[in-house]
Amino acid sequence: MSNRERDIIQSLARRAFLKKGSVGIGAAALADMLNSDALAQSTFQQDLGFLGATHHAPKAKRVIYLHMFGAISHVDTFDYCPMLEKMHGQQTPASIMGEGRLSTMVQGQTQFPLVRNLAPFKQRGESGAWVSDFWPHVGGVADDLCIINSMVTEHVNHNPAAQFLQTGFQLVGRPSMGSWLSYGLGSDNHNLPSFIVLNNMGPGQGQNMDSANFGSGFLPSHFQGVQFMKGEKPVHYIDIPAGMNLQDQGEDIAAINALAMAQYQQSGDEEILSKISSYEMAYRMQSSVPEATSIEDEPDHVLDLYGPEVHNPNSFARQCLLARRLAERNVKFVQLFYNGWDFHFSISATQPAMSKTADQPIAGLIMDLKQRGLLEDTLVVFTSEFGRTPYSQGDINNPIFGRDHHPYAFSSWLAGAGVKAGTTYGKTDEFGYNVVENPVHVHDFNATLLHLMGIDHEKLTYFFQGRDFRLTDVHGKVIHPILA
Amino acid sequence: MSDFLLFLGRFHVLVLHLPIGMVLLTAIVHWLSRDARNIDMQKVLPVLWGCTALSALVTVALGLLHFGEGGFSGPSANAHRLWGIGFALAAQLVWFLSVFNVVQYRRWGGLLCIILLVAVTITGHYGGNLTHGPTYLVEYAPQTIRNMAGLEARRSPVTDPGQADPWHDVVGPMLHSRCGSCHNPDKQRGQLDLSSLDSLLLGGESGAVVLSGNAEGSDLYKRVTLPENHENFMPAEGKTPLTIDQVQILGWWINAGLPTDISVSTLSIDEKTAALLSVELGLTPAPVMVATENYAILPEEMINQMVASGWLVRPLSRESNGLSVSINAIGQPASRDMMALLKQASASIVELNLASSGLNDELLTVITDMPVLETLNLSNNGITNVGLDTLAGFENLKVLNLYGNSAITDAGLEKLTSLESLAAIYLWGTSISEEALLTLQASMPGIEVYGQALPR
Repeated sequence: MSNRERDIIQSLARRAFLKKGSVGIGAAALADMLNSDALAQSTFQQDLGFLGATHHAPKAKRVIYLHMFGAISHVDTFDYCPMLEKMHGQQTPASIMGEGRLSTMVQGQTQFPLVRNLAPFKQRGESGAWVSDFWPHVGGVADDLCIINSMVTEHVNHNPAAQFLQTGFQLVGRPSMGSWLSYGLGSDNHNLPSFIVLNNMGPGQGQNMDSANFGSGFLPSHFQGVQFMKGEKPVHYIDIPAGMNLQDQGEDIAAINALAMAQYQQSGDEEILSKISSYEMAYRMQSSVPEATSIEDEPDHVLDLYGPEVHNPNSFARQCLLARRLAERNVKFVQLFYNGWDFHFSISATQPAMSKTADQPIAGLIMDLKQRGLLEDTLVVFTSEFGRTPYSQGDINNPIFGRDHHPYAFSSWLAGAGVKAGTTYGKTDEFGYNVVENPVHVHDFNATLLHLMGIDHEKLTYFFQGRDFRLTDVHGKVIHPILA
Repeated sequence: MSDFLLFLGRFHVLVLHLPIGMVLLTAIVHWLSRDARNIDMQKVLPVLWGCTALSALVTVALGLLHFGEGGFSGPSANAHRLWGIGFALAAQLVWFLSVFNVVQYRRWGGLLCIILLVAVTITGHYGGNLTHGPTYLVEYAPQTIRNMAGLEARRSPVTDPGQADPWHDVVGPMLHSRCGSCHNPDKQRGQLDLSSLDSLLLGGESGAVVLSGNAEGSDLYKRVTLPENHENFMPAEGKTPLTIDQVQILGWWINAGLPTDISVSTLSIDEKTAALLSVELGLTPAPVMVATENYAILPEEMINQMVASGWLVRPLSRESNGLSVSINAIGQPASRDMMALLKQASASIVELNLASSGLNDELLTVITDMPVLETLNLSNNGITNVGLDTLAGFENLKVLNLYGNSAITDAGLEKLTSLESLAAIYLWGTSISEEALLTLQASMPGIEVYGQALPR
């Protein structure tokens, strides 16, 4: 590259830096990369995000977010309703059902017989939290959990409800929580994305899951969740090809980005800056990802925490372990979408099969984090987009009955940083149908998570199409009673 | 009226200072020019009167536009408008005389100057009332003057929060100082006057502003709790808003049913509200944010140097100048130079994450004294018992993570008993025996010990 070319590129990069703040830092790094002297030196930049500093001291430095996609049945897991046992097979009282809308799947149904808790509940730990036998291992760490049995959402189908939970709005187009955090707080690891997503599908009933659930919406697209795949190599083509070395790759990326920068200068399309920063990140990930995703150095006593399935690289258990490894490397937001909880039929058979694959890995994750001291400043979130009906979908006398979607009450739990451990918050009526005490709306839930990260949910905003947007829209209250 | 005219109207408050200055200057020049030695000064008088007259005209025109914005009512507004117009007309007359009828001007000039000065003073006074509220000028005047202005006696200062009157001593003065300049009897923006409880209860153009017992539903409360950049946020136009404490007091007062003419002690209030009231009454000093006082501010240059060497340096929060420091790329070993930078920044580092950074005892000794450090993560390094001596000077250390330093044994653990602030310690993956863990827990019952022998 001639000196003249280098000058031009460096001046472009500098201009972009002035214009775009954090993205521009990437561009400035690019300018350094093009300078072969600088390539030899180590040049670290830090990305503190749009906020620079949190509004108040954060309790949580990072989040591991376990989204049980398809919706677990709250009445079979964490919300103990003995009345269901007593009234099994009887009609759901009209006074309880009210006039709330039902999903199209049961609208034609005339009978709404209540279904008993499908597994026996027991009180666990010193806190005596009720957890069903579907989750014995998670029950074993009940004293570390803050169970919320009064979650409420507004949407009755999977992707709208999931997007409502993740982005604060039912339609596609708004940034997900991980994107908001990346945008607001930047990254704590120069060599890994600050928002990583792990998807998986268990042996239950799956649903199409929209990538908008971890998208960046109107935020620049480099804030979207970076997907790691199942298997031994979670990131495709991350290895350096035969005959190349890291330096060659670096020069390739630098040349490509120089062209991209020239195009940005012509078109002004800011998405090109996102692309440049993604290329730079990909380059750094060539070294960091193989190390972060290899489990060779994990001793047996740690692997055993996650259960036998951890040896299967495609398993959810392996992804839980991976989540811990990423959290340990200061990735801010690791999100696991575990699909397969949509039990419209044969719930008696599929639910235990599904929980069995998730119970020990999740409990193992909690224990592993705790032993390492990571639970001190890592927040673990466990939730679904809604709950499942206390009544049966289909004929209750036919063994293939199921439970339908239920937005009026569901269960989530939090563990770790800043959360009041060993508590159960909120109550539903005796059928688990409606919330009767301390409702936690999805917006309140999100406001609380941001609060734990040190963010005032009303002050993390992005100006788009003429107004400021935020994760909690114009709603949300921090639920202080569940904070330590 | 179009927005553009309203925009122009707001320049009234800027331009009005021109005729005031001009008329003063002109009067001085007029007076000086009476002396025969200054006879030349008479030549500039027509020009000066012209400037005075024209600036007065412009000011009046802008003033009428500003008036069109609404919210100006009451005696001060009318008087200000009439006196202002009168002044401008008189100024035209004097200008006319000074140019076309020098004889008459010489005869009446002095008197006219005095009349104009009086007129501009009166106009300005009424204008000031509009901007700052009618009682602004005499707020702190001696009582005799306050009596002349028809103001009631100032309330004697409250010395005991229990004796304070919720409206007259706390909420009333609070609203007066923060809202009074736009919501007074003369200038009722949004037709709302907050100068007395009666006028407050009358509400504004959108109806009642307080619902007794329901702060959340009260417009007054909603307006002061909106985000500051919201168009309905009060006070508008960047005026100083209520403090968070004042907002809480306002909320308490509305929820308590707008109490007035009784003393606070007869109401049942919780400790937190009592404390807020006491601070608002100036009886106890406002609590100071503790954190910011304790930590040295690290120069930006120093932070840049740390970042360039591979540290990630985050402020603890916007409320504190303490720092949270970690390795920017976990797994990258910390060098001696990097550790030396930590030592230099030791007065500011509150949290330090050195996990998996290839530390050994020798590198650790570089940071012998970390006086404000509260959280230290040394997990997955090669620290041994010897290295733990370094921690003795970390007198504020609350959380210590030694996970995975397999060479640490029981002997090392004993060294940690001197860390008096310790609240939690992580010892999994060390070679410390179960007995030693139990001994540690027994000798330091206040701390949480996480280790193999004590699975919690």
